[in-house]
Amino acid sequence: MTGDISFVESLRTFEFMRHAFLAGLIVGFTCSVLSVYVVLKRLAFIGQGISHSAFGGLALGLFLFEESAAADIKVDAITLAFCLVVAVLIGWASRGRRISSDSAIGIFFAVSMAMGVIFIALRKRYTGEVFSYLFGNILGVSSSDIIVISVLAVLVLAVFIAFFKEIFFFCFDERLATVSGLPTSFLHYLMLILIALAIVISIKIVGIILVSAFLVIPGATARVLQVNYKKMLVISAAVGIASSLIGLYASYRLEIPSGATIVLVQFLALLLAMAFRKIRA
Amino acid sequence: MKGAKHDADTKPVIQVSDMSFSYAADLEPTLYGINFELRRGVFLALIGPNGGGKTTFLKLVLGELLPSSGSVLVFGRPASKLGRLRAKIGYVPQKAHFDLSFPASTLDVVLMGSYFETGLLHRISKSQKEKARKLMARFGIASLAKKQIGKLSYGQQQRAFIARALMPSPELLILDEPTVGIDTDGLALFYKQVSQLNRELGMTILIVSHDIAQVASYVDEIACLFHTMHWHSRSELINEEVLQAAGVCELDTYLKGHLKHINEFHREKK
Repeated sequence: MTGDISFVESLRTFEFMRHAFLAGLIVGFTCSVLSVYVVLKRLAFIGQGISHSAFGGLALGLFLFEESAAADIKVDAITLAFCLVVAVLIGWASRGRRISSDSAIGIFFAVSMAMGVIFIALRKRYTGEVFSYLFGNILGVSSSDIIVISVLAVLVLAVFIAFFKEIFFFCFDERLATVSGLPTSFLHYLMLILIALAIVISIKIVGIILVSAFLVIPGATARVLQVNYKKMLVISAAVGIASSLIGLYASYRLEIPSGATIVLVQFLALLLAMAFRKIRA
Repeated sequence: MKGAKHDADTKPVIQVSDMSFSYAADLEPTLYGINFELRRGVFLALIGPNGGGKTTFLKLVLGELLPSSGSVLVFGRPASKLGRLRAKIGYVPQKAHFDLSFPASTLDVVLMGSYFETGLLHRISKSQKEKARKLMARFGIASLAKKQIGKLSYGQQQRAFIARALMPSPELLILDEPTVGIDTDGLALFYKQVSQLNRELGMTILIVSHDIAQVASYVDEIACLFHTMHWHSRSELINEEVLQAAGVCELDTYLKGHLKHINEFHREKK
């Protein structure tokens, strides 16, 4: 497929390439904005927990709707509902003094994976499509996916604009923010729900295994540069968009999986940022 | 002092009645039989040994914990249901729990004090920034405005957090062991500045300390907490009655030793 025509030409010719390109950009942007919150609030592990729970949801969806293909909207809905429930449960368990948040995440993570494995085994039909969810398949993005992804991107951006200072204070010192009257419980759950939504829509592109990188590396890259909060958001978004672009191009040229390539490009950006900081110091 | 203008002014700022609190039903209460009142314009020190429930008491006043029985009223309303009145409380934690490399400047942190007032969707106004700068100047940290908060010394951070607490012009200022880690020279200045807030603005102040010697000469009243309120009186009386007997430096051990007996006595009586 590649080799014969250029990247730009393929974009012009094929709709699925345009979809892939757009989806990569928008998801890169959305996740990287959220990653600033994830990094500042030290929630990287929660991202892992929620994304792996998506496997449980996906498998349940495939099991319940045996006739449908994985791309079926019903399966997506089950995956989404499952992730939201797990996100809220993790959020709830990590809030009180019931169990420590890392134990809570570790438990939910493993239990959802275990459920997923069993549902998949119970399913009689071929389950090959599960692999495209584990590792992502950016070329399978439909135009309705693009709409969903865009709506979420706008939602995430709107939340960050609306709660710009509140999120900042919440990340800085949760207790002080609560005592100062900020709606911290609301923010806690709102952000978890956004993270879960972002994970579900990103899974198609990067896959369950790698999606948490999108929610950590861009923010961590901006964090390394020791800039203020506003610049962190801008740099993180730039890293997210640029690595999606470069990663997609590289994956096209080298004929390697796109999600994994983008993650490696993000990691490269992180290394560059660390080198830059070292030189500047 | 501002003096009593209307009914609200004569009501105590904090009123605790027959309050007890335990962290779990099967545990001994951390606090019990507490009746306490902090009147408007009073500068009060809450003292007592570590582990005696001072921090728990503050959490109840701040509405973070709910009393197991009795009531905790702040500005005449249950502490956990203050709503907009929350802006009238300035709180300085003993130790803010933030990551030292967190990307916030000193000015950012001070401005956090006005977030609640400013409300969602609104940006910090110029006049609030101006106010933040004035407060920082007052506490001698104006030159550190752009410096990352984690790079300040402990004493400087503490002053930034006081400036933060003062941003919404609170009527009640609560300071939890604010002087831990501040050197002796800094201490005198610190108390001078805090008592100025009390004298000039009529601000009601509750300061938590485990060192009676430090606070005694600045405050109006002293209350001693060790699971229950042991005494609460005007500070000059405490000076004479207790301070000498206490042995200035060994207050903590002194209190622990003596108050345990008193506590046991009280429980036996019950």
